Amino acid sequence: MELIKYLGIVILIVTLNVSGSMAQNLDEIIDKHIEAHGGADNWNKIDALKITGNFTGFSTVKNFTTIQKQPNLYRSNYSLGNFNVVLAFDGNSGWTIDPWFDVSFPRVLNTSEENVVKQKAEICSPFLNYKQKGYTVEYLGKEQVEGVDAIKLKLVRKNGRVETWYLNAETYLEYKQESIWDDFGYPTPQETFFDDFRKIGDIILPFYVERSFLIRNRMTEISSVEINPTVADGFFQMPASPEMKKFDFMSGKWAVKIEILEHRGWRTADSTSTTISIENNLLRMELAYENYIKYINQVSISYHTDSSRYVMTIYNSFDAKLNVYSGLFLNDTLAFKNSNSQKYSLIILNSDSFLIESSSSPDKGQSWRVNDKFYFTRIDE
Amino acid sequence: MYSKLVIVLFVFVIFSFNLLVGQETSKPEWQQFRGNARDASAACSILIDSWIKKRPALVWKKKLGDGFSEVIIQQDKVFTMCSEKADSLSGMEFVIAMDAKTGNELWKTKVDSMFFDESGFGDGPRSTPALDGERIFSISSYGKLSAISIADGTIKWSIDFAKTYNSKLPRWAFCTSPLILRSALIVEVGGGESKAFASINKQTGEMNWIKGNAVPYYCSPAIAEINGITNLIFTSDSMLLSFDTEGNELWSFRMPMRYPTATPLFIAPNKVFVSSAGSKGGCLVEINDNKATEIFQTAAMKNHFSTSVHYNGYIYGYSNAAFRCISVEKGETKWTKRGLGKGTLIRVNNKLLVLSDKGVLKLVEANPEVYTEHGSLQVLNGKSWTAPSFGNGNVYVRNLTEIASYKIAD
Repeated sequence: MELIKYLGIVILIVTLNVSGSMAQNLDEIIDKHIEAHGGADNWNKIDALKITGNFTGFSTVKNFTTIQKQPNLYRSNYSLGNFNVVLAFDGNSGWTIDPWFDVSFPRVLNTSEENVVKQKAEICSPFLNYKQKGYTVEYLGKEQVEGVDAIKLKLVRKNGRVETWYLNAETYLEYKQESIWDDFGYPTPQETFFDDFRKIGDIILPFYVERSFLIRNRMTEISSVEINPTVADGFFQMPASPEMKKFDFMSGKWAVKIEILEHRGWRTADSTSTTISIENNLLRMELAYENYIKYINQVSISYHTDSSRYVMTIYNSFDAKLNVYSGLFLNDTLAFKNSNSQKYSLIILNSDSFLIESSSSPDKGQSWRVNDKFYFTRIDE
Repeated sequence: MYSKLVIVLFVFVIFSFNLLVGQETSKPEWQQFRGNARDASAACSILIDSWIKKRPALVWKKKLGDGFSEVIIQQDKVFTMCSEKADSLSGMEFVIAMDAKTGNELWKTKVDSMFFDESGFGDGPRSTPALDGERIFSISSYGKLSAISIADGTIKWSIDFAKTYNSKLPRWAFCTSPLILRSALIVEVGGGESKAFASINKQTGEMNWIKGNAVPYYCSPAIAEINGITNLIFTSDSMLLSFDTEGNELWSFRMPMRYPTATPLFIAPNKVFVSSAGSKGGCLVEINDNKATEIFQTAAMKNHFSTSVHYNGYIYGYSNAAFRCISVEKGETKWTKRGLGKGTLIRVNNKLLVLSDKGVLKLVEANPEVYTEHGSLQVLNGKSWTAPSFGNGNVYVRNLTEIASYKIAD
């Protein structure tokens, strides 16, 4: 019995020592890795990086520009085949303008794509301040990778995504990384190799990064790095499409006065307010007002690229009908029709006011009569 | 008496040789896709000193319309395929003959409409023609096989695979290259059931036989002499198939991968290495008594568009974008060279001529122990996916916009 107790204590001590020394080894490895990149102090002084160089995709070399900002903001312009691509992460979600998907306007990324942009958005190595970022790291031993003695580490990001890193055992700089990447929206395993480490100011970066997945090969060759460039506010936010950008000024709170044409002339039916939001290239507002009966109208405006026309839908809660209108801008007026009998005109008066007129035609579009007017005036917040 | 015997013997040798090569009037230097033996090799001593001290001399460089076809060589002429755009939506594909010494055009023959790749990877013909001394045989992007007189560029006969055999245009167009076998032309027709692989009479264009079941893909037929039997090797989906010269199926093997693009690599006396860029990589099979047995699978060699070369028990090639040497015995990696991008290669004696997809030509020792580079030269500008060709002591390279000849051997 005494012997079993004694053996138990010995095993416990040995286990604690081994795990303690492993933890120490891991911390030492990561410290040396960060030191090899220029040291945590120097990296913590980096607020933003502007990186330019050549990007090779489909065997064609084109320029690229990437801007990264702490903690994880990212935006890159590069060319792939015949198309110019924008890929970005605003700190919360990723977006892209990627003509490979037959769309020329900004769109949000799917989970697979966002996983990639999150990996790209990491300034320096993901091992920098990894504990504060909620990552875990495990030491997996030493391994030869293509003739290079490497330290193998398993990195698990906060979202559970696993990456395997191989640090050069001599320099402690990364040699290879394996993770799940993305190929046109589909997750796929990839290998990345790092080389040509150079000192820029007080930090050290790989100037050559080669990534392979499926039959793809992507090479990034850096030619210049600007430390802490000025970056405009909103640079990382997803913009609206050029067509929807015209409505940017409409975002926010508005006071709305509703005038109705009656036999005796124009009458103010109601005064109300609404909030207009523009997200993912869709303008939305709920307009609730009374004119003898209560209307709660759900209004949306988007741009239909195939027909090159704006589309407005109005869901009227009173009669539970969804009406669809399409239209075009002419100067500062956007005229929507659903037939030759009903029309809405959105007239931009200035940046703080606009008017929507509802008209009907008694003669199949030959002439129009305005029935309702909705005056929108910005509410200062 | 003795001198008469010598003359008789000499005539007999010459006659036998002509029979062997199919009555060729002159032996081509680089007869077809991947050279005369379709193994991407030539025997010649490269001037290593020139590479190291002076660099290879540019003989000529010319503009050339879009196309991926390799250059084929017969004595003082070189041939390839190219295209010319009429506008942004239309154009023609050609077979072009050029003077090997000057690059000047000798003739240019229209063979079909031009293929346009909407994704921007490159327009024009993909297939490499084959020549037999008198004629050149080409397959256009839309699947038209043409026999053209080398002397003047006139078309002698043609077969439209799509019209005649209902072959469907693949995503990247018809890409496979015809194989010359004595009096026959071996091609992938891709017409589906019983209309996939064919032997065609070179002289008349008549079908000797057509067999197998496959749609057109991108893997050109290979040839192998195994136990005294000529094997014509094709792929279809995940099948590796061999036919004899009469069209009888000799053996088949289900590969671990599907639709390889790289041509099956024959490793004498009786092995075939197949490889694709997917996760499975490569597979070595051994043929005994017309039965194929898997020797190993290896993820170390994942050929994309470029076929590896074999030399003295080792396979050299592009595993996607890693230039690598693996052993035939076990498939293990001997060395890897990164940073070259993707590329193509041929072997000249014990040297590898490696052309990167950015147009850099490297002279590399075919040595499994260590990657040794003797020199490197920017020979083309822009995307270069076409393998070099070798003849007359010159290496011929081309890409989507230009073609060039460099002197690298006596």
